[in-house]
Amino acid sequence: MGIASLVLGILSLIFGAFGNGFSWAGAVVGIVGIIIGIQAKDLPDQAGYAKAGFICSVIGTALSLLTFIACVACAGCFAILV
Amino acid sequence: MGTGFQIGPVMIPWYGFFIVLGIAAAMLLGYILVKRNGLDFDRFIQIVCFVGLGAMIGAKILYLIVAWEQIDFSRITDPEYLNMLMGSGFVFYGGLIGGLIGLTLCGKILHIPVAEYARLTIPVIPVAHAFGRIGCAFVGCCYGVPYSGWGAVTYTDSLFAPNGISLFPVQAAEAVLELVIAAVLCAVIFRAGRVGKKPRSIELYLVLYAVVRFGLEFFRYDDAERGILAGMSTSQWISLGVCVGVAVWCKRRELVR
Repeated sequence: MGIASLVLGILSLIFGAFGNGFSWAGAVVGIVGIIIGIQAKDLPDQAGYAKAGFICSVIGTALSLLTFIACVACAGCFAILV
Repeated sequence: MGTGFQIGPVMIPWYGFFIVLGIAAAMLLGYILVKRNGLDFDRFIQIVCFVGLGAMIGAKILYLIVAWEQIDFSRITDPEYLNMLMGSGFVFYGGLIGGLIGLTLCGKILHIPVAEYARLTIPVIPVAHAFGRIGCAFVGCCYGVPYSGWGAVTYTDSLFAPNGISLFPVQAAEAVLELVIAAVLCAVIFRAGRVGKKPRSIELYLVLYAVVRFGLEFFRYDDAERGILAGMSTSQWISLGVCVGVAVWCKRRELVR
């Protein structure tokens, strides 16, 4: 699980920083990486990978969300209640 | 102000910037609330992730369902078309349902008492929302009625608001009121903790936001995007429904006791 989190974290970093239109994939992959990274932190032999995966996933998700969430979502549908 | 700002060769959209800032502020408040109430911050992060993922997937799935006939499936393997399809077009109700499903799944899969976490950390939602509204204020979406008093804003290159017209700063007003809601909720939660009671923070949040939203809708000017029915906007009807729903829920709980 720790290695999976690291792989997902690196992928989300790549999508977020260089993926152009694939920032939506970076956000999804990054969020899953965060969840798995937290679960794997409790496993003694995977704690190091899990921590690295968690950090990469958080940064990758933040980068992806920067470009993924555009105000078209705000005007189109969040405006109803959000 | 345009839609974003430049850092070197990279263009950062205002809305995305403020949403990420809002999430960071919400997580900081969440950390304080979680620690103060003896909960686990890692579990809180996982709940936020499940809800966020559920909301994104739900909003997208419902959009794909309602826009089914407009989708050109022969182009689905074209990366540019796929990105356009996935990166735009979301339906709020799908996001709401997806978020609630995500919350439920989080509880079942990770065995986290999600209701307790939700009750004690609900103020993070209005905080994140407030930052989102600041983003709206910067780009000009969800704009206000024509107004030339104190605090009026005039956009010059907005893609959403009418440029060159002095408007009521309804987005900033909502951001301020959201922060007030967050402060009230925190006070209620802290007081309930001191007397050893469960705070009714979720019900309070729903009602407070519904009242704020109902009132601010009178100052919104983007009718075309929002929809009007019998003189009230969709949001106003939903706000009324939320207030009624919470009242019924609270009454039923009293009768059961």
